[in-house]
Amino acid sequence: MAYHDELIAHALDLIRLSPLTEMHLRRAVSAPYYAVFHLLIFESTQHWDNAALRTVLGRGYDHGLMRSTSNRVLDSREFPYTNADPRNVATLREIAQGFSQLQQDRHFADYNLTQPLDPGTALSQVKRAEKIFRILPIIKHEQIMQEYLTLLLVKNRTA
Amino acid sequence: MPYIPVGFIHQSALQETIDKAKSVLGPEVWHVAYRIGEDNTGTPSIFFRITMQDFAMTETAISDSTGRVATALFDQIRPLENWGLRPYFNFRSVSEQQKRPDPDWA
Repeated sequence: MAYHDELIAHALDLIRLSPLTEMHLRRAVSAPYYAVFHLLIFESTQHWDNAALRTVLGRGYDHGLMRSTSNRVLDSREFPYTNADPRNVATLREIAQGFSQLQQDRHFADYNLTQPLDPGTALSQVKRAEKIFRILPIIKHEQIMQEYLTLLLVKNRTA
Repeated sequence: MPYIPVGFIHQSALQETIDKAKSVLGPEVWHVAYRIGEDNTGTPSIFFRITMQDFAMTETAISDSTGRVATALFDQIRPLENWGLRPYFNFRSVSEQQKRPDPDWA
């Protein structure tokens, strides 16, 4: 089983624990973020011919750049995807928005102890990540998805 | 990408847009609150706090129901294009809001 698959399974196990403690809830929000983070890197590095070096290449991905790329593709002014199937565009944007959201919520779950987490909020994050695992394979060979996966590693330069 | 500083957002126009978007949401939505602020990267953002009926927050229903609501709000409001705000959508159930009332969600 791939590491990202183990992580999403772990997140689902956590959210189904009873009773759920605050620690379980926070770990249940953190784990799916890392599951999606590693899933995206896994898919993004698949075109690297030397399979043995894909994990090394994966070390080059940056959380901040992946998030800014994810937010860029949500903006139809920069990425209008005029000739793409609208269903694929919607799926891509759901993945991208989900990644950005999961990263924001992971930050809260791991660092912000000023407010408790709700089980419903945590469950929605785990299921959001699980959905990304389900829908990404549907469009992973589409050009817009391949472009997104590539841009996760490439800094946006304007000059 | 150019971002609009939060101070320059026309709050009443945004409120009007959100009210209009809320009107197309289904009965599983109990309340939609939002606030504007910076996310943890310092980027101007809009944080939706959506309270859902309990039946929409079960493990089998939550993925579809929350996805539908987030997509509807995103498509109607176009937060990046029209307002320069990154969108975030968080959900809790009515029973959670009743058990631990939070003004951010009211």
